[in-house]
Amino acid sequence: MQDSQILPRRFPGVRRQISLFLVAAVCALVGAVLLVAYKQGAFVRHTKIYFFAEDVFGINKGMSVRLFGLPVGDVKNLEMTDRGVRVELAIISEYAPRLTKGSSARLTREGYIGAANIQLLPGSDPKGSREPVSDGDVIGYVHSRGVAELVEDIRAQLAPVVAELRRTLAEMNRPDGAFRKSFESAGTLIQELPETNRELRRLLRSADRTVLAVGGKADAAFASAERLTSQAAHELPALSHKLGTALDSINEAATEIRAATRKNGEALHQVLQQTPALVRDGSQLLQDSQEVIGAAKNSWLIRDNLEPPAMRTLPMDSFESYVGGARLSATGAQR
Amino acid sequence: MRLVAAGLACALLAACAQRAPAPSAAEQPVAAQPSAAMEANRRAEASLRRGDLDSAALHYREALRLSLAVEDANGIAANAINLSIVYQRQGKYQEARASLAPLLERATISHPPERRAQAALRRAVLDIDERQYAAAAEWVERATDWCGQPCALAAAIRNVKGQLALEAGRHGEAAAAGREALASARAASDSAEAANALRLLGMAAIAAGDGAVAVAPLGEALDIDRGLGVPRKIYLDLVGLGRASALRGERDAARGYYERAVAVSEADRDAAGAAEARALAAALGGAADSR
Repeated sequence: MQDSQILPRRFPGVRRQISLFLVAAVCALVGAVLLVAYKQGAFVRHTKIYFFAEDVFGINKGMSVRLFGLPVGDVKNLEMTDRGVRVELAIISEYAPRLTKGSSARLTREGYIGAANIQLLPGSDPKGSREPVSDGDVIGYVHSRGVAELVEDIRAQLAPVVAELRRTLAEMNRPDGAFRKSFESAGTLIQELPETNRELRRLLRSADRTVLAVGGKADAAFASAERLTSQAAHELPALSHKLGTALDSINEAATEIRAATRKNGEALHQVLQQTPALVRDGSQLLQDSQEVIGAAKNSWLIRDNLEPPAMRTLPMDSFESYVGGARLSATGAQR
Repeated sequence: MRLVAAGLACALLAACAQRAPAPSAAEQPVAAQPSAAMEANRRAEASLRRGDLDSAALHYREALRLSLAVEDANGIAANAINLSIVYQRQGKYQEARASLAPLLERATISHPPERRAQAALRRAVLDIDERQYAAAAEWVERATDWCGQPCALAAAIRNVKGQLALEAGRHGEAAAAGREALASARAASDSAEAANALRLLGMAAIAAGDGAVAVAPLGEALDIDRGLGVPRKIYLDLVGLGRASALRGERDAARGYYERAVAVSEADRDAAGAAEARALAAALGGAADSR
């Protein structure tokens, strides 16, 4: 019996090797599991906080929770309650001190169409509590507008613009509209441009010809001027002689005028010198005349026929009121 | 012979002449002022004859100032009265009253009673023009007192009293005053006041409703006023005659007088008078009614 249990000598020590292999495999498996668990945060302490939302469209279990863009936890659980849906967030306890009790959460996306995540907003209210969140705390939830809502907003804002644009286009298309008329006028103007261009060219050609013709005539005129100049140069000595003679005559005339003026001035001077005396004489004459007239007035022949000088008084008129005013009508009205 | 006669005549004339009395030293500086005031007085009178009331008032003011400066009582009185007449014709009653103040309320020197009577009568005429009949009656009584007897202003004073009686509705008293005024004016050969008295008589008769009695004095007044050449009074006479004719039922005659009054007013550039006469003619009714 004992001989039948004897293992063949062909694989001596194999049992031991197999055992070693199995142990190593188990250890590797456990190590891998532990490594994965470590990587998955199985060995990280989490702080559970909650928020309530009316709806949790877009929020799923396992969704990343970010603080300042860094992943600090994930959504652990969604549970319907009387206050709405309670969302459980597992926050790595290491980051919990950075979150105050006044913090809030909101659903965001990385870009407009990126992966959704929960963004934690540290409390910014200076009057709010500065105490860090602790396990079981409830934070607020800010409802974020989704892409659909944003699109609806944009559509609502664009609608009047589009309507106005449509109306403007309709106005532009109206046959009797100002735009069409302006456009047609512009078209007519553009159509007339070639003809205008041709006329302008004709005008330029005509101007060119005119300039050439004038140039020819100018040459002739210059030639005439040259002839005149030469003729003047030829006749200038004679003219100069005549002009000199005329100037001499003028000079003589001026001398005579000056002499006459001097004589007249002297006469005027004499007259002016005599004027005061003449005035005095005239005054004396007038005084003498007045005395003669006064004496004549005092003679008995004239005195009795002259009215003595006296301040005259206007005649007293008892009807002055009627003469100057309109009392008559009133008086007549009374009658 | 003729030359000898002419020489003798000249010698005789020269013998009759004498030098004007030389002014005393005290009077000499004063003597120039009345002549300046007199010159202003004459200029004002000339302006008044031209119908330039503004210029007349200016010169009378200057004459009054110069007279006041030398305390020339006669000049003050004459120019104050004249200035009041001009102001009244301009419709400046306040100024007209103020211009008489140097003779009445603010007299600083004594004036002869005749002058004060003239000023008081002027105040009465001014008050009548402004329908202040009570004040006018007071002033005319003062004028009567100051004028004394015989009074050169008797006719004018009685005419003013007659106007006041007429305004008060005392037609008989007005007619009596008119008759007295007419007698006084004729006695004084004052044709202007005689015409006024005749007009007053006519107006009193019209007021009493007796057109027939009114025609004769108004016609006589018209003749006198034509002679004097006072358009506004001719106008008054014609209007009075028109009224008298209307009272007698002679509408055509009345219209004729009114049309003449319109023509006189238009020629005298009196638009208000012309409008008044036209209104009176229109009030007579159509031509068909007159017959």
